[in-house]
Amino acid sequence: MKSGDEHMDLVGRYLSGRATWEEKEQLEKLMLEDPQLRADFLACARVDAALPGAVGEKGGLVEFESVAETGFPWRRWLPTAVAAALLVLAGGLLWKNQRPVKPRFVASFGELVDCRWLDSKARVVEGDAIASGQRIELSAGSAEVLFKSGAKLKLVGPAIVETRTDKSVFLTLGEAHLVAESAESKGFVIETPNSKFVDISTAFTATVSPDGLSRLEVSEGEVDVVLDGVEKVRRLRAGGTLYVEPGQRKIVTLIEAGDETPEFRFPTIAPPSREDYADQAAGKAKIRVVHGELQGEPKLGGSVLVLVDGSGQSKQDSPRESAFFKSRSGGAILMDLGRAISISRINSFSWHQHEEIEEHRERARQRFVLYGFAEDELPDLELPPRQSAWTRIARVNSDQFFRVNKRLDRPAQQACSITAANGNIGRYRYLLWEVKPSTFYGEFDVYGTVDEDQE
Amino acid sequence: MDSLDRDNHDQFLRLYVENEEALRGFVRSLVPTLEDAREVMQETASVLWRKFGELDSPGDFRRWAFGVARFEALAFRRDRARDRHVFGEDLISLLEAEAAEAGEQSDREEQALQGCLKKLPSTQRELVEVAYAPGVRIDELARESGRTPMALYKALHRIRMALADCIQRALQQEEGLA
Repeated sequence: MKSGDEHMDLVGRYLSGRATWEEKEQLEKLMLEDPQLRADFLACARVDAALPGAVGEKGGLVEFESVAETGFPWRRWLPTAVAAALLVLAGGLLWKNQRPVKPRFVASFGELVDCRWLDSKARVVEGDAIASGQRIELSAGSAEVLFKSGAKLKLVGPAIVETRTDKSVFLTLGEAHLVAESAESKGFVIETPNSKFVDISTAFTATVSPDGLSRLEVSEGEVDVVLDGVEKVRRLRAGGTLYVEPGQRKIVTLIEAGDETPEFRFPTIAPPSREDYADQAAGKAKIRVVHGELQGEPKLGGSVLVLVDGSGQSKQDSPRESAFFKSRSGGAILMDLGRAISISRINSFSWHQHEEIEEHRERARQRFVLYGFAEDELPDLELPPRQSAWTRIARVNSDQFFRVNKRLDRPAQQACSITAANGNIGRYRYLLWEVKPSTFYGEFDVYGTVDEDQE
Repeated sequence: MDSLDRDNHDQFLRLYVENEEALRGFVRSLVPTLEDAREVMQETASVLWRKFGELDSPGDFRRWAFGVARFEALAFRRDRARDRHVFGEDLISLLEAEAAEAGEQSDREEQALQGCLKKLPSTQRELVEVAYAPGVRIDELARESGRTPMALYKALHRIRMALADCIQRALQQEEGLA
């Protein structure tokens, strides 16, 4: 580093997130004037950003050995004989960050269907060995990976996955279905950028979308969900699905199908409640429509107050007891909690099935984006929430959640429960549901507490 | 998925993977913590994916991606309006241009980093292994090791500087400049 110690100390404080506002200002002023300090700052930032990728699963540096002394990056260095041999062996696998000469094979390819690889020169055939630490980059088709532990992983492109051991992988992007039936494969781990899914004795599917949203769907047995920085393990059973939003708070969204009775019973989600913070009877919260228009009350639809009356609908097709938007573009519902509170759980309930036509239950699906805002002065509601100061809490699409392919796949009664891995979704005064049409919502329950220092 | 979509997927994945490290380094320079950088990267990836169809030419991907990352960092700053520990736009513009230029050699830097890590004294190497492992919190690590968080941050900063120096020397040697 050519910059002086004092300036580099400022860089260090900034990159550790510990700089005071004055120090940040000082560093900014210095960097605006000093190209060398900017270069040194960027060099340190690049090292900091690259180091997590250089550290292996158990906290050890990724093991690799140079095959030949060369300063060239591996992509250009591949034509050497050894690398070429590795390429043939590994097929279309990109060996990022490492150049193993003593690969530890943990799996092999099984059935390959219409596979296209990121590396267009890749030639992969069934039976090709896969080493620990290899990155499989599939752009289309499906590829089966058979682990020595007996676990079977099916990747659906586009997908990027890195094998770690014969019982663990890191899924960066895409969809992976795991079947782990043998005793040896028990405890198989699929790690994603924000979660770790640990098999108990199961079949499950993990999905990571490009923006980091992780999805877990358990089809058999049980899976433990481990979230970064959270000691408590959450166990999901067969039939269960949850989403984990990217970000520090690890917002978890769970959607369940109900028993289709006025009691609104769900496997784990509590029914509509009069005990939540936002309940109308408590008088603390106000709710109103800020965009779009609800279907006219009282003949054709209920008012927005049905969402805070402590109960869901009393029957399966009850427009009067439901709040639903009439326009095809949906709308937005704003809840003012009166003051910023720490929110622990937000539940929403819907129920709809036509009296005579069983498959007519479109208005049961829940599709919304939920935002929060803590300050007293509301952001400009004319601006889209994404373009103003709202914090996005969760995205919900229950059709996607239940993998609805035909109308009867869609549960007629649904509950969505949004929580945070550490128990605290965040501190907000306002909640904004940006809602797609035209779901029959029966109740929104918001659970939270006033912080002690605000009492 | 039709063939056009497949081609788009292929092309997006290829371009994103090629530029990911350079982009990550740039984003890290714009926000105060690694965790913030992860969030901005996730948003950036999402926007790039959604708007990939608007990109005129694959050759413009890096410039475009840096622009998107910059915008997302600014949005992040706006969302965290009360957290004033984020740089102003003038400095971000300078950093963007210089980071994009430095990003041309991100592959070589990545390679050099591996070699430099091996050259670290064992105590420093062990500290890197522990501190940069997934889910590790520096304050907890400091408590466990009987050090203050500040002492640990300083030690890590010294290691980052040493690694950055080592990488620079390695690249210069490669270019025959040293």
